[in-house]
Amino acid sequence: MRNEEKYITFKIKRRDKPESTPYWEEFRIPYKPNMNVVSSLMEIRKNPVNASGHKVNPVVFECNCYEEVCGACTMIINGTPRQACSALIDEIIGKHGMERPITLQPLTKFPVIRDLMVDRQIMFDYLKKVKAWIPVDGSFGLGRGPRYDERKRSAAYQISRCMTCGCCAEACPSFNERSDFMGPHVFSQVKMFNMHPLGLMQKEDRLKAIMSHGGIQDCGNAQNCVRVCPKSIPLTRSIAELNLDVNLLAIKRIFKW
Amino acid sequence: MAKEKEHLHSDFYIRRFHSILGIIPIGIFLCLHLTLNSAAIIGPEAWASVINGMRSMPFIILAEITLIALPILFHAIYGTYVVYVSDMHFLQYQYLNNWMYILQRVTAIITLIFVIYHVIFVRIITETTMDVMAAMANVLQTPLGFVLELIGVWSAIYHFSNGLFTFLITWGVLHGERIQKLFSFLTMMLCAALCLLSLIILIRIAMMPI
Repeated sequence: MRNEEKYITFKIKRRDKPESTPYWEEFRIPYKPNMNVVSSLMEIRKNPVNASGHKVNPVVFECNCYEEVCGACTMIINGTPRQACSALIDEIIGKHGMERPITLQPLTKFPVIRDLMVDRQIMFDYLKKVKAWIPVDGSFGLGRGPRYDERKRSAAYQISRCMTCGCCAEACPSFNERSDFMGPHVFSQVKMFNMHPLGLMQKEDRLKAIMSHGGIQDCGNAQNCVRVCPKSIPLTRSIAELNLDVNLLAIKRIFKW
Repeated sequence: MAKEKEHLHSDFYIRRFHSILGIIPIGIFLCLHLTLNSAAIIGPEAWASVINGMRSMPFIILAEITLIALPILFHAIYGTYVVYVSDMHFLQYQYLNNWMYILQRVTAIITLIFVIYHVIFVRIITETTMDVMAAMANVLQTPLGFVLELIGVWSAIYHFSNGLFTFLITWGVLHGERIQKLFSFLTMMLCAALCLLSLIILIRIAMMPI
């Protein structure tokens, strides 16, 4: 018996230049066990011939770590924003079968550079805006820092796994071109740095930053962010807890106005 | 580095004010409105006496403007902006909270249209208590009128109930996932109860021999 070769189909939303119109293109590649979407895209890159047999430009995509910790390969796979490296082909075809094409789209909330590659700079700009860091650099040693409460440390660890991949912002209805909403990821970072015994000293600065234009008030509680977060970061819990902090600060500020 | 001048961004305070107004006084008024009009379940006489009682209160027009009309106006205008800045092409996310979010915005628009119609129809162009009752009964006696009225009232009730749930998150009361789930269930039960009450009221008004 001849071992019949099996193929998987990809339907990819492509775009040649940032300003050009996107178009869909199909690719068929031979199936091998243990593939993921990144390895499939590499396979397409080796031999960039589309499903109708034309030689085309290879599909542009980003990837870096291959273990779902960098966020670079984030794209919309079968309608869900996730990392291409941890999107296992065997799992996808186990759910939908061999026949259904796997659709790949770039994230829609960020400017597309080319094909599946987007520019997520705005997420980092917002992290700067909310001062998501601890200022410890100085001209002299400050000695040992305070001890970190173990319960807070483990809560902070969970949040620290955020890789600014953009899944939460992609799924968030408040994060769009009509609104300047900072996106769900910043609030968990603010929560994390406000929990830190040293970060605590800039707590109010960060709270003021998330009360500014596009801040926490623009959250509409659709809660898609927490559902799509690949790192299971309690994004909505951080927002809810910060709501209490900003409200108390707001009351304080009103009476000091 | 020069100390930054203390600046209160209005966005936050306006949005929080919008959130409060939805419950106090608008949500309270909605509950009161349904409670008072449930007199219609008893009969036309009871209903008439309640409407007369409300209308004969001194300075009622002042209370209507400051406690009802102006808050609703602000909530509606700012709320329309909130609906405009939300992206609702989100049918790819089949999560309950996402549906509640979309429905909150859809009912916002329906309720706005319904409230404008309702105020003009039963408060501005009708004079006496008998006129109000007759106008309501006439509308509700046609199947189309009944359905439209029911959609308007149920939209307002859903918008209030789900709004109460998100209000509790916005004000930092409900933090955890499970307590949020519990309260979303409780507020939906409140929604169901008020919807049932309003249905009975509307049926009773439709049955009135006017």
